[in-house]
Amino acid sequence: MRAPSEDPRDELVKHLAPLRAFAFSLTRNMAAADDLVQDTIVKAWTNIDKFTKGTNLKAWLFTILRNTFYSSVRKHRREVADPDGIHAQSLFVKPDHDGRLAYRDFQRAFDQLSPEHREVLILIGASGFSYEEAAAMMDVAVGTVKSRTSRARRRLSELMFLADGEDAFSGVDQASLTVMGRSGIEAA
Amino acid sequence: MLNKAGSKKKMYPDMADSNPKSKIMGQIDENLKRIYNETLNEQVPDKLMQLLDQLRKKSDQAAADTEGDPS
Repeated sequence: MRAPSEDPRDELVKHLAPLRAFAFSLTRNMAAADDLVQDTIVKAWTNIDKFTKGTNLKAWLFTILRNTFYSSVRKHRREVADPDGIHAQSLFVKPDHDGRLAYRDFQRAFDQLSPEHREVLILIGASGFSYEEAAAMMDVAVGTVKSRTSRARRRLSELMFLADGEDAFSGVDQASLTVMGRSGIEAA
Repeated sequence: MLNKAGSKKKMYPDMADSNPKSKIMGQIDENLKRIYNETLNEQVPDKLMQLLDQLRKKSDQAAADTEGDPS
Protein backbone atom coordinates (compact mmCIF):
# COMPACT_ATOMS: atom_id res chain seq x y z
CA MET A 1 0.00 0.00 0.00
CA ARG A 2 2.57 2.54 1.13
CA ALA A 3 5.62 3.41 -0.88
CA PRO A 4 8.10 4.50 1.82
CA SER A 5 9.83 7.08 -0.31
CA GLU A 6 6.53 8.85 -0.93
CA ASP A 7 5.52 9.12 2.70
CA PRO A 8 6.63 12.50 4.04
CA ARG A 9 6.56 10.96 7.53
CA ASP A 10 9.72 9.10 6.58
CA GLU A 11 11.41 12.48 6.19
CA LEU A 12 10.59 13.65 9.70
CA VAL A 13 13.73 12.15 11.18
CA LYS A 14 15.87 14.50 9.09
CA HIS A 15 14.20 17.50 10.68
CA LEU A 16 14.52 16.54 14.34
CA ALA A 17 17.78 18.43 14.84
CA PRO A 18 16.57 21.67 13.18
CA LEU A 19 13.31 21.42 15.13
CA ARG A 20 15.25 21.12 18.40
CA ALA A 21 17.43 24.07 17.50
CA PHE A 22 14.39 26.19 16.69
CA ALA A 23 12.52 24.99 19.79
CA PHE A 24 15.47 25.83 22.02
CA SER A 25 15.66 29.32 20.57
CA LEU A 26 12.02 29.81 21.58
CA THR A 27 12.05 28.14 25.00
CA ARG A 28 15.72 28.64 26.01
CA ASN A 29 15.26 25.52 28.07
CA MET A 30 16.33 22.18 26.63
CA ALA A 31 13.80 20.00 28.44
CA ALA A 32 10.98 22.28 27.33
CA ALA A 33 12.42 22.30 23.81
CA ASP A 34 12.43 18.50 23.62
CA ASP A 35 8.84 18.37 24.88
CA LEU A 36 7.89 20.89 22.23
CA VAL A 37 9.58 18.85 19.49
CA GLN A 38 7.80 15.75 20.76
CA ASP A 39 4.40 17.46 20.57
CA THR A 40 5.27 18.78 17.13
CA ILE A 41 6.22 15.33 15.82
CA VAL A 42 3.02 13.75 17.10
CA LYS A 43 0.91 16.52 15.57
CA ALA A 44 2.77 16.29 12.27
CA TRP A 45 2.43 12.54 12.17
CA THR A 46 -1.29 12.53 12.83
CA ASN A 47 -1.99 15.46 10.51
CA ILE A 48 0.31 14.43 7.70
CA ASP A 49 -2.63 14.43 5.26
CA LYS A 50 -2.70 18.22 5.69
CA PHE A 51 0.82 18.51 4.36
CA THR A 52 0.98 19.30 0.64
CA LYS A 53 3.53 17.01 -0.94
CA GLY A 54 6.25 18.81 -2.79
CA THR A 55 6.11 21.85 -0.51
CA ASN A 56 8.66 22.64 2.19
CA LEU A 57 8.30 20.05 4.95
CA LYS A 58 10.75 21.82 7.23
CA ALA A 59 8.72 25.04 7.02
CA TRP A 60 5.54 23.09 7.70
CA LEU A 61 7.08 21.46 10.78
CA PHE A 62 8.49 24.76 12.04
CA THR A 63 5.02 26.28 11.69
CA ILE A 64 3.47 23.53 13.80
CA LEU A 65 6.20 23.95 16.39
CA ARG A 66 5.88 27.71 16.77
CA ASN A 67 2.07 27.54 16.86
CA THR A 68 2.27 24.86 19.53
CA PHE A 69 4.74 26.97 21.48
CA TYR A 70 2.64 30.14 21.40
CA SER A 71 -0.60 28.39 22.30
CA SER A 72 1.10 26.77 25.28
CA VAL A 73 2.61 30.11 26.34
CA ARG A 74 -0.81 31.70 26.09
CA LYS A 75 -2.31 28.90 28.15
CA HIS A 76 0.26 28.86 30.90
CA ARG A 77 1.66 32.37 30.85
CA ARG A 78 4.64 31.01 32.66
CA GLU A 79 8.28 31.92 32.51
CA VAL A 80 9.91 29.54 30.08
CA ALA A 81 13.41 30.87 30.45
CA ASP A 82 15.93 28.94 32.45
CA PRO A 83 17.15 31.34 35.16
CA ASP A 84 19.17 28.76 37.03
CA GLY A 85 20.52 27.04 33.98
CA ILE A 86 23.73 27.26 32.03
CA HIS A 87 23.29 30.94 31.26
CA ALA A 88 23.25 32.07 34.86
CA GLN A 89 26.67 30.53 35.32
CA SER A 90 28.24 32.90 32.87
CA LEU A 91 27.03 36.13 34.44
CA PHE A 92 30.33 37.23 35.84
CA VAL A 93 32.61 35.93 33.17
CA LYS A 94 34.51 38.70 31.46
CA PRO A 95 33.94 39.05 27.75
CA ASP A 96 36.66 38.42 25.23
CA HIS A 97 38.66 41.45 24.26
CA ASP A 98 39.71 40.15 20.90
CA GLY A 99 37.46 42.48 18.96
CA ARG A 100 34.53 40.09 18.70
CA LEU A 101 31.20 40.35 20.43
CA ALA A 102 31.56 38.13 23.45
CA TYR A 103 29.41 35.09 22.88
CA ARG A 104 28.25 34.81 26.47
CA ASP A 105 27.13 38.43 26.49
CA PHE A 106 25.36 37.74 23.26
CA GLN A 107 23.57 34.70 24.68
CA ARG A 108 22.55 36.70 27.73
CA ALA A 109 21.11 39.46 25.58
CA PHE A 110 19.40 36.91 23.34
CA ASP A 111 17.76 35.30 26.40
CA GLN A 112 16.26 38.63 27.38
CA LEU A 113 14.52 39.16 24.05
CA SER A 114 10.86 38.30 23.68
CA PRO A 115 10.17 34.89 22.09
CA GLU A 116 8.77 36.74 19.06
CA HIS A 117 12.07 38.53 18.58
CA ARG A 118 14.12 35.40 19.13
CA GLU A 119 11.92 33.59 16.66
CA VAL A 120 12.27 36.06 13.84
CA LEU A 121 16.02 36.43 14.36
CA ILE A 122 16.58 32.68 14.26
CA LEU A 123 14.30 32.12 11.27
CA ILE A 124 15.86 34.90 9.23
CA GLY A 125 19.36 35.15 10.64
CA ALA A 126 20.25 31.55 11.39
CA SER A 127 18.00 28.87 9.96
CA GLY A 128 18.05 30.23 6.44
CA PHE A 129 14.41 30.96 5.74
CA SER A 130 13.50 33.83 3.46
CA TYR A 131 11.33 36.73 4.62
CA GLU A 132 8.53 35.28 2.50
CA GLU A 133 8.84 31.82 4.05
CA ALA A 134 9.00 33.28 7.55
CA ALA A 135 5.95 35.44 6.84
CA ALA A 136 3.97 32.37 5.78
CA MET A 137 5.09 30.46 8.88
CA MET A 138 4.28 33.33 11.22
CA ASP A 139 1.07 34.15 9.36
CA VAL A 140 1.94 37.83 9.02
CA ALA A 141 2.84 40.13 6.13
CA VAL A 142 6.37 40.12 4.71
CA GLY A 143 6.75 43.75 5.78
CA THR A 144 5.93 42.78 9.34
CA VAL A 145 8.69 40.17 9.31
CA LYS A 146 11.14 42.75 8.02
CA SER A 147 10.24 45.40 10.57
CA ARG A 148 10.15 42.87 13.40
CA THR A 149 13.57 41.61 12.37
CA SER A 150 15.09 45.06 12.43
CA ARG A 151 13.44 45.89 15.76
CA ALA A 152 14.74 42.63 17.20
CA ARG A 153 18.27 43.42 15.99
CA ARG A 154 18.08 46.89 17.46
CA ARG A 155 16.80 45.52 20.77
CA LEU A 156 19.56 42.93 20.82
CA SER A 157 22.13 45.64 20.19
CA GLU A 158 20.65 47.75 22.98
CA LEU A 159 20.75 44.85 25.38
CA MET A 160 24.41 44.50 24.59
CA PHE A 161 24.93 48.21 25.11
CA LEU A 162 25.70 48.82 21.49
CA ALA A 163 24.03 51.97 20.30
CA ASP A 164 23.46 52.46 16.60
CA GLY A 165 26.73 52.94 14.79
CA GLU A 166 28.79 52.68 17.94
CA ASP A 167 32.04 50.88 17.54
CA ALA A 168 31.64 47.51 19.19
CA PHE A 169 35.26 46.63 18.79
CA SER A 170 36.95 48.83 21.34
CA GLY A 171 35.57 46.61 24.05
CA VAL A 172 32.94 47.31 26.66
CA ASP A 173 34.00 49.21 29.73
CA GLN A 174 33.88 47.69 33.16
CA ALA A 175 30.94 49.81 34.37
CA SER A 176 28.78 48.61 31.51
CA LEU A 177 29.79 45.05 32.19
CA THR A 178 28.73 45.37 35.80
CA VAL A 179 25.39 46.79 34.73
CA MET A 180 24.98 44.05 32.16
CA GLY A 181 25.70 41.46 34.81
CA ARG A 182 23.11 42.97 37.11
CA SER A 183 20.49 43.34 34.42
CA GLY A 184 21.06 39.70 33.57
CA ILE A 185 20.29 38.75 37.13
CA GLU A 186 17.24 40.96 37.32
CA ALA A 187 15.92 39.52 34.09
CA ALA A 188 16.43 36.05 35.45
CA MET B 1 12.86 17.64 -0.78
CA LEU B 2 15.55 20.07 0.23
CA ASN B 3 14.45 23.48 1.29
CA LYS B 4 16.03 26.54 -0.14
CA ALA B 5 17.99 27.34 2.98
CA GLY B 6 21.22 27.74 1.09
CA SER B 7 19.95 30.40 -1.25
CA LYS B 8 19.37 33.17 1.25
CA LYS B 9 21.02 36.42 0.35
CA LYS B 10 23.20 38.57 2.52
CA MET B 11 21.21 40.54 5.06
CA TYR B 12 22.63 43.97 4.36
CA PRO B 13 24.07 43.90 0.87
CA ASP B 14 23.82 47.67 0.53
CA MET B 15 26.02 48.46 3.49
CA ALA B 16 29.73 48.75 3.14
CA ASP B 17 31.73 46.32 5.25
CA SER B 18 33.66 49.21 6.75
CA ASN B 19 30.46 50.54 8.31
CA PRO B 20 30.61 49.74 12.05
CA LYS B 21 26.89 49.08 12.11
CA SER B 22 27.14 46.54 9.36
CA LYS B 23 30.04 44.92 11.21
CA ILE B 24 27.85 44.63 14.29
CA MET B 25 24.99 43.24 12.20
CA GLY B 26 27.38 40.74 10.64
CA GLN B 27 28.52 39.65 14.06
CA ILE B 28 24.95 39.40 15.30
CA ASP B 29 24.20 37.04 12.42
CA GLU B 30 27.34 35.08 13.18
CA ASN B 31 26.30 34.68 16.81
CA LEU B 32 22.71 33.81 15.91
CA LYS B 33 24.01 31.03 13.67
CA ARG B 34 26.24 29.87 16.49
CA ILE B 35 23.31 29.71 18.93
CA TYR B 36 21.25 27.79 16.39
CA ASN B 37 24.03 25.49 15.24
CA GLU B 38 25.05 24.50 18.74
CA THR B 39 21.74 22.70 19.19
CA LEU B 40 21.55 21.67 15.55
CA ASN B 41 24.82 19.78 15.86
CA GLU B 42 23.89 18.04 19.09
CA GLN B 43 22.88 14.43 18.90
CA VAL B 44 19.10 14.05 18.84
CA PRO B 45 17.93 12.38 22.07
CA ASP B 46 16.95 8.70 21.79
CA LYS B 47 13.54 9.59 23.18
CA LEU B 48 12.69 11.49 19.98
CA MET B 49 14.04 8.78 17.69
CA GLN B 50 12.04 6.20 19.62
CA LEU B 51 8.92 8.34 19.31
CA LEU B 52 9.17 8.15 15.51
CA ASP B 53 9.65 4.36 15.68
CA GLN B 54 6.60 4.02 17.90
CA LEU B 55 4.48 6.20 15.63
CA ARG B 56 5.59 4.20 12.61
CA LYS B 57 4.82 0.87 14.28
CA LYS B 58 1.40 2.09 15.37
CA SER B 59 0.57 3.35 11.89
CA ASP B 60 1.75 0.17 10.22
CA GLN B 61 -0.21 -1.88 12.71
CA ALA B 62 -3.33 0.19 12.13
CA ALA B 63 -2.91 -0.13 8.38
CA ALA B 64 -2.44 -3.87 8.69
CA ASP B 65 -5.51 -4.21 10.90
CA THR B 66 -7.85 -2.21 8.71
CA GLU B 67 -6.61 -3.20 5.27
CA GLY B 68 -5.04 -6.56 5.92
CA ASP B 69 -2.12 -5.34 3.86
CA PRO B 70 1.00 -4.68 5.90
CA SER B 71 3.33 -3.94 3.00
